[in-house]
Amino acid sequence: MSTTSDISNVPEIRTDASARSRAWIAAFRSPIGIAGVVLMLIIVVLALMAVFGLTPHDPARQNVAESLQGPSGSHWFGTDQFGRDVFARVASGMANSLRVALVSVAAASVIGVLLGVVAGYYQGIADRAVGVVTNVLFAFPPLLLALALAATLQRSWVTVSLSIAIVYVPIFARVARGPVLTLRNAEYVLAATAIGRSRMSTLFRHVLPNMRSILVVQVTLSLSWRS
Amino acid sequence: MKLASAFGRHPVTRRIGEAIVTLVGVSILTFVLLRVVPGNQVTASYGIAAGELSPAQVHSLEAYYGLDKPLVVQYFDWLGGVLTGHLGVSTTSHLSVLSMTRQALPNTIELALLGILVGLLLGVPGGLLAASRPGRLRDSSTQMVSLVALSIPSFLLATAVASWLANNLGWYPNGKGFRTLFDDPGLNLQQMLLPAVVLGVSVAPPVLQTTRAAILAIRAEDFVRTARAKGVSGRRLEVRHILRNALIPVVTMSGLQLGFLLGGALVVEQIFAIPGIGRQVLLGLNQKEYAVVQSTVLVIAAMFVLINLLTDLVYRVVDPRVRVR
Repeated sequence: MSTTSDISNVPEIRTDASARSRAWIAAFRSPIGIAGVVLMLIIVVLALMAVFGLTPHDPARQNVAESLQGPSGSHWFGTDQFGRDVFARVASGMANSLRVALVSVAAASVIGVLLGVVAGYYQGIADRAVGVVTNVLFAFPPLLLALALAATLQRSWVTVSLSIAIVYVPIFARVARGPVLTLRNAEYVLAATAIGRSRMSTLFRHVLPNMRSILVVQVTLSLSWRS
Repeated sequence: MKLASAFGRHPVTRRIGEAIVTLVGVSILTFVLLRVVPGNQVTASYGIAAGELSPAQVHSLEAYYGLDKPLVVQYFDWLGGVLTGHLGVSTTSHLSVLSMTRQALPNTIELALLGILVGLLLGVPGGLLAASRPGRLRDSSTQMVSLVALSIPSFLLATAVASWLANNLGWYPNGKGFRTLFDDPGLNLQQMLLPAVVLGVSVAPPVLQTTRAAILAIRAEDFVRTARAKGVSGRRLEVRHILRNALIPVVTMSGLQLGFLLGGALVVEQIFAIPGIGRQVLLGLNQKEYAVVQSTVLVIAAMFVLINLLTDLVYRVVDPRVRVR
């Protein structure tokens, strides 16, 4: 697990529409971009197949007569020791992982970024309070947190997402706080203050949008770790 | 109340103050979480039979385990013990948590250090290789390998490598019962090899990325151009001017990773049967041994905080620019 993300080679995001569409086209033209899109599509299609019950077999149905088969036309990935279809199990596992990853990273990024931005922007007591909370969560073994949540709440994917989200909040808070420290002194932020914008609107209109590239990197990295 | 004034203005004393606040927070969180989880030491040690105990029996057992006192009293009893050097006693094994930790901690530290070592040995040269020709084949293939290493879950890699070696070469040192470094250095290092490599593989990719990014960023700095203009030759420029500065973020990165490994190598410890600190927490959790879990978590958190503090101090020494804030 890391909290630093590679900031230096993230291209600066241009906001005008033509530059944005050019970037999309460039992404689709490069072999790596195409490979990424294809992989992503495979994963999403697999997960959707499981969600809508379109896999050829039921992932939970046992059929001991067909146990431990190799890949074949009817069982694309073969079967396990109970004769369950591995392809169906992979697909439904994918759907679960994807759902947990999306929900937990979404929750963690919103809460964590908000905490980090407020800490970095307002500083003082807010910064210290957020600092203590992130330090405590960082130093705390995640396993204990997960066990406690699993034992007290119902065992479901929501519980799993929640415990993962809590573990990820301090990472997002830290990643978001750093750039805010520099951005709050940027000339356009000072200019916004000078023309009488409130601190809140400066924060959301000028500081947050300029952190997009860093946050996008962190969000995608976290998604890949969790799914 | 201003927290800043409580710890003084100097950054180092403020850091130490923050560390203490963090540890108190961790201890309270652990204490509360343990009591929120259903079941206690009575139910854990008697299993289903706990339901057949009479209320009087339950009450005397709770008194025996110290669970009948108010929560605040329980917390401060435990905290008072910790502050006077008594981390509590495991009621199932009758060992003090201090002696359990004394046995488990060296194994965890050894494993974490070896894991970081492997990670640095793979990550730093990899980062140098990638940064030597940015955007070219050498760069992209190195990054591809690092992406693959990042994508493999460590528990999968661990079990796959261990079972392959055992089946094909008949080599599985971890099956022989664990030996510490002091008992049997030869066997111990064999037993640590696989887990260290597994941990190292998961540490290497972030180290590699950090090294690569730092080198590329520093190569574009003004002082590098100045040095080149002065006539500093290739190798000297790379080592003295670029590498030395590029390693600063790598130090921070490794410190953070070391902190995580010291408390979080539980899965690898479990797979390779290494009696470390992570397994001590798990064991305590299963038995609902509150004192064992609370004290061990505090030890883990203390190490994490200490490593971060040290990284910070080292950072201050290596990079004077940080001292500004």
